Amino acid sequence: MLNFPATALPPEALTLRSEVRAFLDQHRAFLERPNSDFTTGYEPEFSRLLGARGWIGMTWPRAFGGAERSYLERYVVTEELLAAGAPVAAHWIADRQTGPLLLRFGSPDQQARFLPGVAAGESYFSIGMSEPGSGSDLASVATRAEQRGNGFVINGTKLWSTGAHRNHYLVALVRTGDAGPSRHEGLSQLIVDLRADDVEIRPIRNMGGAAEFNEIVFADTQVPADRLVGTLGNGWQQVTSELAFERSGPERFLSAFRVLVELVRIAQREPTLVQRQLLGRLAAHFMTLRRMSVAVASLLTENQDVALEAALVKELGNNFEKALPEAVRLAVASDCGGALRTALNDTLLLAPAFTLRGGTREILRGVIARGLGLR
Amino acid sequence: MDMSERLVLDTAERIFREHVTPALRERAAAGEFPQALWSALEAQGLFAVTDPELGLPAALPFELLKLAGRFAVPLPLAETLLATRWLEATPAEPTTIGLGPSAGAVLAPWGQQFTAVLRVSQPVPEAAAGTTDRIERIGVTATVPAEHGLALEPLSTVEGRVQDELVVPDACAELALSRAALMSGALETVLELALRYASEREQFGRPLSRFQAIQHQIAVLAAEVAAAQMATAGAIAAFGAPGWPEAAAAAKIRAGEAAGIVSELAHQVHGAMGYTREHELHQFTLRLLRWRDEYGHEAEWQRWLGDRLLDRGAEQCWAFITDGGAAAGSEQNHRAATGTQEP
Repeated sequence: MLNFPATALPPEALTLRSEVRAFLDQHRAFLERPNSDFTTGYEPEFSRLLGARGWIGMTWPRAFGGAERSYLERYVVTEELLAAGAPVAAHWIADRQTGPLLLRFGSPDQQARFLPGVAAGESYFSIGMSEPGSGSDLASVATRAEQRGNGFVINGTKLWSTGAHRNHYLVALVRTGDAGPSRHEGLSQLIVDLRADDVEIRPIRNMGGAAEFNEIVFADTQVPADRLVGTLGNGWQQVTSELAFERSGPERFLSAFRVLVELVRIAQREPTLVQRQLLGRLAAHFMTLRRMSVAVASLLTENQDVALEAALVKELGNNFEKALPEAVRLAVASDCGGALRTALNDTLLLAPAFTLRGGTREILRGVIARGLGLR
Repeated sequence: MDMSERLVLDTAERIFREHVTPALRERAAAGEFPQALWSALEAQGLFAVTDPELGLPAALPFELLKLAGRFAVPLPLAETLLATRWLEATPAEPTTIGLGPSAGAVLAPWGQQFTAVLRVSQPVPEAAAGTTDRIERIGVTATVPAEHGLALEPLSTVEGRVQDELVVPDACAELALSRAALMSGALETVLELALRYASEREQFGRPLSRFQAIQHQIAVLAAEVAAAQMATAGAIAAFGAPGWPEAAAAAKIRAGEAAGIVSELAHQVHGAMGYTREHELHQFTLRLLRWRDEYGHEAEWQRWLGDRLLDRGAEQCWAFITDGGAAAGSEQNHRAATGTQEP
């Protein structure tokens, strides 16, 4: 019923893992203030280094700058980078879901135009799905795109677009027709140039003070016709397939990993019983979540539908990411400072978002219920 | 999975399906040994699957135990299977495994059915120790019924004379994994029961499954089952390879945690009906609560696994998560080069 095959990594994946670890050793300077959250380390120079090694767009055709490697191999690279706290934010979204979107639905011209830059670690994409009035209810988006002349004119507002203040392009989910009886018709996706004069980007500060995401206002924003992804009205199917990629990766349980590392560092000399037990508990959870993530990657390699499995891993992983700092803070003195306190505080400032981004806890539980046949 | 392993598991499942009913479990709880079931399993050679001459996978007993957990089989199958492996032969007399501080006090399920018991002295090794144990084989001279608690099967305190001693590598880890496997199977059945109940039971004019509160509780339940199953499957796949005791510890911890959460949610979904002796839910949930405490509970194995992580140190944290207790270096690279199983 629940499909999580015990998966042994093949030899080429193990070799690759050694290569990534060696690479990270050589580039320690980029890991100075490690934070295993995938959104907070924005470093174009590092992204270009990864691109040069062929570690972005790994599963894509070579013709577009890819390496035609498996999802398992991609998985190994991404988990090593996150666990080490490498700064991957710049290229992460483009690699994770925009590339697969264009490979599946994009025109040959779009593939040739956009994919090589992403694979090189030079071209970065943001997501334009949510709006002020449309979060969990994504189908209710109201940003309209009308066909006019040789292109589209967009009016509306997008919200929570991570990195849009720095990235090059946005894939915007827009309404181009009637929603129909299913509520899912009449949606399309357009590639928007974020540096255009008629796109207004307003950074939003999160509660921790960082401005990683944005509001984007379209007021008669013009987009050429060749920026339509796939066919008109196909938008819902496109975002659904993107969501499977968005929900299935190791970033869904590794956000708080640095806290574990700092706890080991502090506890090593004279660990208390509470610390020893807590470290074992956290290790068991990480080992299990990782196994589940690897299993999902192997299912993706076999082209299987992973909607239920990805939702299960995200549910477990996100809740664990939030529970981890809550447990660790009580295993050390209240006045404990240093790197552990920094890691704890960084995590607590991000924590509310763990079970909101990429699908809220409530939505994910509904997806699981549907997958179990309850809905 | 090869043909012969599949055949063993299919045979066991056929026998379980035929014999193990809620009524059989209830009779076992009252003290009646399920002799027909025992004989059927024995006749099919299922107790001898660890015989090296059969060439069956070494981890097959744990796959059998997952099945046994799915059916809540009221027999000490784990003890029978592991005793045969530890003795490297089918014992001449009925032999089980029990836990106790001395030859004068060993607790064994269905103790009165056995004339020899292998005594495990501590469920979880002390700090920085491996999981190898020195096991005494005791010839039973007396058995006394012990307190039931959550047992649902007769428990005895067994006394006797020490006949000899064996050294069993990773004995504690094997016993812990045996309980994780039993829990893994039972957890799957509990999820099935919850899904069935929610779809059949109606209130306010519709099945419980139509209420979001119920959907979400079952979603959480399913996630715990998935995690416990994955941790257990991973440890079984790693069995015998470097780092497998760490995987077994993680499985016992994760399955033990899941056992409590899943039992609570399942009883909540089943309402008052599920709280009765007549409903079979308790035959699974009470076993889950018992098995999580056997051969080390979560905190004890957490302490052991935490010590292993501390030994590796902060810079090796991630390597520990990916490879468990397997040392980095030539062993890993060799296995990688030859494409053999990795934990």
